[in-house]
Amino acid sequence: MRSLRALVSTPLNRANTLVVAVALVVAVTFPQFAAEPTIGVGFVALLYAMRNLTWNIAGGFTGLLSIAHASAFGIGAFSVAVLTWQHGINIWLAIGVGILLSAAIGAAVSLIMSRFGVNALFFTLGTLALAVAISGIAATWSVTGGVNGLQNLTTQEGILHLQWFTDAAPLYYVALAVLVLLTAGVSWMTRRTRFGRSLPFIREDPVLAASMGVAVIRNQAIAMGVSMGLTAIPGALIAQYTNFVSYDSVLSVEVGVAMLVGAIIGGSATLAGPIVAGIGIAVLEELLRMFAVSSSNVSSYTQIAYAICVIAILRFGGSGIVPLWNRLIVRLFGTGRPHDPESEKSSGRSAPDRAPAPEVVSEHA
Amino acid sequence: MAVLQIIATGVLQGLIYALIGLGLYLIFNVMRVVNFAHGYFVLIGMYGVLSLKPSSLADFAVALLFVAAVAAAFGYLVERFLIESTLDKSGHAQLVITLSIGVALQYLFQVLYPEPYQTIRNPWPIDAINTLGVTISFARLAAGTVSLVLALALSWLIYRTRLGVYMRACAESLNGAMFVGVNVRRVYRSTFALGAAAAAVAGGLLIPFQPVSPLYGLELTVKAFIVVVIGGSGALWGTVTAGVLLGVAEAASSVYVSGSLASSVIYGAFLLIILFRPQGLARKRVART
Amino acid sequence: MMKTALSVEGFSVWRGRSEIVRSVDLEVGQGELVCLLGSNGAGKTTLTEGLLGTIPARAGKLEFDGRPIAGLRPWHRVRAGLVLVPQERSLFVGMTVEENLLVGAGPRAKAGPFDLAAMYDLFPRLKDRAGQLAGTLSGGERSMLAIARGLMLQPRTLVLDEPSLGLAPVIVQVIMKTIGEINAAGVGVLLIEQNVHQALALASRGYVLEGGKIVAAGTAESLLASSLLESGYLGTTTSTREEAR
Repeated sequence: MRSLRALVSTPLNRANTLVVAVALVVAVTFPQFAAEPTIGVGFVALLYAMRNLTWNIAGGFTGLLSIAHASAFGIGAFSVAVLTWQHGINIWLAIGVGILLSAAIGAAVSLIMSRFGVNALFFTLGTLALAVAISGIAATWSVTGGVNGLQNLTTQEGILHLQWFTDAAPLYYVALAVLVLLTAGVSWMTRRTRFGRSLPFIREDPVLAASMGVAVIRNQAIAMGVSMGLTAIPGALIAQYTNFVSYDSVLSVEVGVAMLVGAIIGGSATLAGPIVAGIGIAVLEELLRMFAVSSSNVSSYTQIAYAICVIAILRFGGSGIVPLWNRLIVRLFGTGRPHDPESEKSSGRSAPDRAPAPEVVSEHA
Repeated sequence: MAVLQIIATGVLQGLIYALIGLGLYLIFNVMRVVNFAHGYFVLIGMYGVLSLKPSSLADFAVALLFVAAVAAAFGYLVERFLIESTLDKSGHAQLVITLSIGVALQYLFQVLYPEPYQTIRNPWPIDAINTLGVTISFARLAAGTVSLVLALALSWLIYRTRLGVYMRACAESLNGAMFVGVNVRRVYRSTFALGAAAAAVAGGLLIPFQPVSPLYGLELTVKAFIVVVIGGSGALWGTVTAGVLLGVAEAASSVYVSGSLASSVIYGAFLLIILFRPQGLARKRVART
Repeated sequence: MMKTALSVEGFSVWRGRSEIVRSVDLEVGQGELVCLLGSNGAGKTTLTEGLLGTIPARAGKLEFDGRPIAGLRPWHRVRAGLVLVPQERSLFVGMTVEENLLVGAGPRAKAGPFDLAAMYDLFPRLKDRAGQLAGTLSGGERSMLAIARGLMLQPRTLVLDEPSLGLAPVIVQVIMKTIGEINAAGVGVLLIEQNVHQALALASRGYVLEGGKIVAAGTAESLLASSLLESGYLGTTTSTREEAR
């Protein structure tokens, strides 16, 4: 009851509850009024949202800016391609294998990096190198189809095979259900579990967190494992949608960069940010296509646009679309409380922020 | 014979990597900024010279100076307006900003130069030289030599000029530099501009024999990091040596291992280096009392 | 009445999000030697960094030689004559002793009494070590080099943050004597110390900083006599420090 009341307790909560409710209704009814190709756009939007969300467990909540998630996405796709398409193993099993394999790689990467005391910047660099190396292996390995990739030649349809060749709507609903489940799960994890609540402390200052008794190395490894494991799911779904995978399409480093960029545009410290940005990016791509930008350039222009958005967000100190929206609502309708310690604290902070402070990370390096 | 050919090609290519790496070495050691856009600064040089279409050696030299100036100005503006305000925040902001600059440049080049793998006609008077059974394109030989000369010039700048003293001071102790009145912001802007210019000149030297594609930027970024990590944060010559090593390793692996797997091997090796020699990029640890 | 060199009112300094120094008032006259006492974690170092402007600070009034300096960058404050010798020394460990001294003495540096020769007179040991890397110096030599490097900037007021920290008593004597000489040459000094008695013996006035606030101020004699020092405030303030964090 208490949590239900919290949904409408302040103007901000009321506004966001309304937005989420409307979004859910639109998402559920979308295939009913949208034309067939547009359902595909909706499916891609849900996938973008999903992979941004799963990336954000490690990247946003824990502060591990990983590019290796491209490999998790690709492993999810290739698990389906190799096990189901090539060897006829049931797809749900194949997805499970993809999740476990990605999770193991994620946890191992994190543990090895911690073992050798790799700092945050090297973490990104190292995961980048790993992503490139894995993509190179897939490009030469016959099992993954080499440079030609793999094609889906199976014919079975239905939920058991997670495949509907002529209708995009079922896969769309699967993606929607998975996204809702993942969102609820991540929300529960970050609010209700000790592990989840420790993540922001690790992000802000791992040394301080360790001194407060947080098992930093273990929790970072779990976060990377969970995050990369779950990133295999959108990878598997995209494989079932396109029925074709290659090292180029699902393992490219750009996939990892896209997740990072998407989560940051949306607001990487928030739950909703990555989802909002994922859907927004898909819609933006579609709009550009409608304005008859030549198709090979669409993705170029959108990539440039995201890059500029990210730079602007980081440069001007914003923290993404969702935090901006929250601030807008609070400004328009107030906080709904007579005395708000949170806003008071932040106004006290803003003054010294303006003072010159050219201190650099150097002392930690 | 094959070995000689590998070494000659590798060393020359490595000297160019060294010049690219030196730009990154400066930016990293002086500012502690991990510049993911660095490989794309090389692309500015490659595409810049490409679009100027130099037809003579003099044209080519002018084109090199021009791309150096453009890249320096670009680097200066990037530092001044995008990096500077984030220096007092966590390192993540700079990392993501430079990564995004790289992404933006990559797709910008994609739109501007849709035809992939372009190159220019050899601007040097000789095409190739042939001795001891080794064939070297003259453009490659000249590029390696010019890179070496520029590395010497950078070394002179760092150890013999006022700006160099300030840059070393910032690299050794940022607080120390501020407390002796060094205008740290000016030093940072100069460093970033210099690093970008070095990368762009290297790009200009590459373009006569290295066809360019927008995807090349990321590869060069990672290679530049490989050079800097292996070279370590000590003397600048460590970076040059590391560049040459990378060049030779690459030349050798391209002969013995097939295409994409060769790059996998190099990136995998780099991952191991990060694990075992992270101090390559980190600061020297000397007790501070 | 002595002219004021450094004048600070309502000065607060932040480290991260916590306000470590809270609304401090402080004054150093021209050529005066003032000491600032306080236990570990009282906020002394934070205060000095705030004065130099390397970390966020806010002040009702922050003036140096009658000029507001709140808007100036650290290096401009240094060039104006407000020089800090930091507690961690911040030497350029990969450069030689002489290179360390000369970094700040660029072509546009002010000329003044403190040149290389004067530094080697003041600290003969540095002369012996001139060509050696700063990273190879002993603790005492590092402190000397840090002070000499600061003096090369021709300071009008020198802020010394615990110059005797971690040094053997004999070396502390040498350093304290030299600080006296520097002050006698007309340089104002704000000496931050835990060596209460030695610091007060040199200083004309003193402040006591506790939990980020000035809790006592006065002439050296009055502070020496006060019960605050006798009650042994040093080391008894762990709880205050915890609160300040």
